Amino acid sequence: MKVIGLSGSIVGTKTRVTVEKVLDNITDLNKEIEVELLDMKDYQLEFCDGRFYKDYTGDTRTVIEKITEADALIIGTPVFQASIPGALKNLFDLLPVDAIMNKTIGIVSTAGSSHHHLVVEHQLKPILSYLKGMVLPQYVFVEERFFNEKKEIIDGEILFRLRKLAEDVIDISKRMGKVTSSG
Amino acid sequence: MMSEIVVLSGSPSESSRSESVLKFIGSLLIEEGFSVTHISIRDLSKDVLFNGEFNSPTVKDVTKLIQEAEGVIVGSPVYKSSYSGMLKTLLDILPQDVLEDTPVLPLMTGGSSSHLLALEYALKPLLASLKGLNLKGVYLEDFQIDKTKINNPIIHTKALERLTKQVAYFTKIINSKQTNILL
Ligand SMILES: Cc1cc2nc3c(=O)[nH]c(=O)nc-3n(C[C@H](O)[C@H](O)[C@H](O)COP(=O)(O)O)c2cc1C
Repeated sequence: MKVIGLSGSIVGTKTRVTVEKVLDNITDLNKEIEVELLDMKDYQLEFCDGRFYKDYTGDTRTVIEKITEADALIIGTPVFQASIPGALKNLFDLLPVDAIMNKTIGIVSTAGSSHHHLVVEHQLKPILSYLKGMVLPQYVFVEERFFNEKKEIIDGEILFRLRKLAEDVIDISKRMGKVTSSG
Repeated sequence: MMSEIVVLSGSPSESSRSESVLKFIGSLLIEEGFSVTHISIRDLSKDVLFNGEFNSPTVKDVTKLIQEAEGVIVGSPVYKSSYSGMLKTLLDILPQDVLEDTPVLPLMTGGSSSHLLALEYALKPLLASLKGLNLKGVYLEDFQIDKTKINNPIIHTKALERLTKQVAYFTKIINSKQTNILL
């Protein structure tokens, strides 16, 4: 099985750190599972204009394929203007309609304050449901204050919940028949 | 007195249905004596948008135009049950109160009626978070539009009625707002 951790931020580092934490936990729980971080900052994507997805080239094509080929996803989003970033939405726009069908999806979100906890519930989840992903109901929302100056997560409760998210992603993927005895 | 209306087209597509409707609305407003500025997301630099360069001169110009407008019309195609990611990349880098005190007419076009509520649950909350004063808005389905008919692309009588009614409501609010200021 392969899990892609998608960090949907092109500016800060907190979203990436949070996604990486979940990936580390997955590796720690089951060494056979392959994990890969896909940081949107590392890719220059084109804007979706309705073209057939195979007509995109370069980074855009690479990212679409990585997501399509994954068995499960950890999606990390920062909050921009009370929703997900346009760059992340553009990536969803680019995906073929069945790209994440039946894939277990765990969500983490980072934000400056607690006010936007519901952004995932109201803005991100509907899109992932439309794309037919098996979205875990519980997500982890990490406020700025849970990081130290070195951008490490220091809150015990948050660390516990990120580990739980990793366990749940593995567990649900197993039930979906995605985890074999060799991982 | 002339009032500046800004029309913002959020379709990445070269030959766009939503933009053809927006241009039509623009022409109606010009007939009524308003001055109209049309901004298409496609005319903005893709690098500026993708990399979130909020300090770029283009973004400053767009911000000023919108801030000084008496009313703004924002259009988007439905992409993956929400607004286009490309439109969101622009809105992400505008000031959080860019639409303060501004009547906003939201417009969406979609492939089917299934996503009518994208207007209510995706586009309107976004415009509201930028402090815009949302009007009811208009949702059109593809079969109601013939984008090759430049003078009036809306080929569905009922849809045209709904649209002209919403535009009349929009201008009424702008005019009354101006009268109040003059008093
Ligand atoms: C990438 C992409 C995703 C789309 N997703 C949806 C959708 O979720 N729901 C829908 O009703 N129509 C969807 N459509 C159809 C468009 O919303 C519709 O054709 C719209 O009128 C296009 O507007 P435009 O020509 O201004 O870009 C999608 C089209 C594209 C290209």
